[in-house]
Amino acid sequence: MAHVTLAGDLAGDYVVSERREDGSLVLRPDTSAGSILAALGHEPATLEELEAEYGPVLPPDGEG
Amino acid sequence: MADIARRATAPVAFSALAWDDDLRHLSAAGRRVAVTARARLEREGQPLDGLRACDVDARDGTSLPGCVKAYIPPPLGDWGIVYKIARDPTDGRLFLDHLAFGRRHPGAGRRTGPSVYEVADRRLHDRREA
Repeated sequence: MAHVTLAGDLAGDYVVSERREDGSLVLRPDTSAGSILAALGHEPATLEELEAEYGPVLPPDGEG
Repeated sequence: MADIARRATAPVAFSALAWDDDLRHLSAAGRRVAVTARARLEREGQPLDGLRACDVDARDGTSLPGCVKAYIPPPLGDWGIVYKIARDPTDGRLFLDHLAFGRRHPGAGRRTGPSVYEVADRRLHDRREA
């Protein structure tokens, strides 16, 4: 799936969800985790790193 | 160092596109909950005592490794926020990046739609919306 980055009145990362015969494109926001972190200028970190700095979090409860 | 007192809250960050996408899928009441929660989280941070690890193999089929969540309002509110753990490479600070906000169990209310876990799973694994 093609990704595009818009700048101007609309800005941010988008995904091309449809290419029409007349050449027009249908875009939807790229809300993937990778795009979120990139937009914030962040890098992935781990639960172990979080717990080392802040202490243990509650365990998973099976819900999600 | 082990003797440093651990902090009670962690900083939270939001990206505009994902947050706006969440708001679009909420009822008016849901948007009020979301906006109020975001303002508090940005002002005060996420309390660590309300933070729970997400499941790698949840009973709803979602898989959210490396993510944590909080229920809103605490401790067992109907709403949830899922975070991706992240680090700012410029100063090394850890952040909780908003990955999804929504209902924990949307079937239990008047409005149906994906749960916050299903949205987070889709975003984490870069799957297209159904």
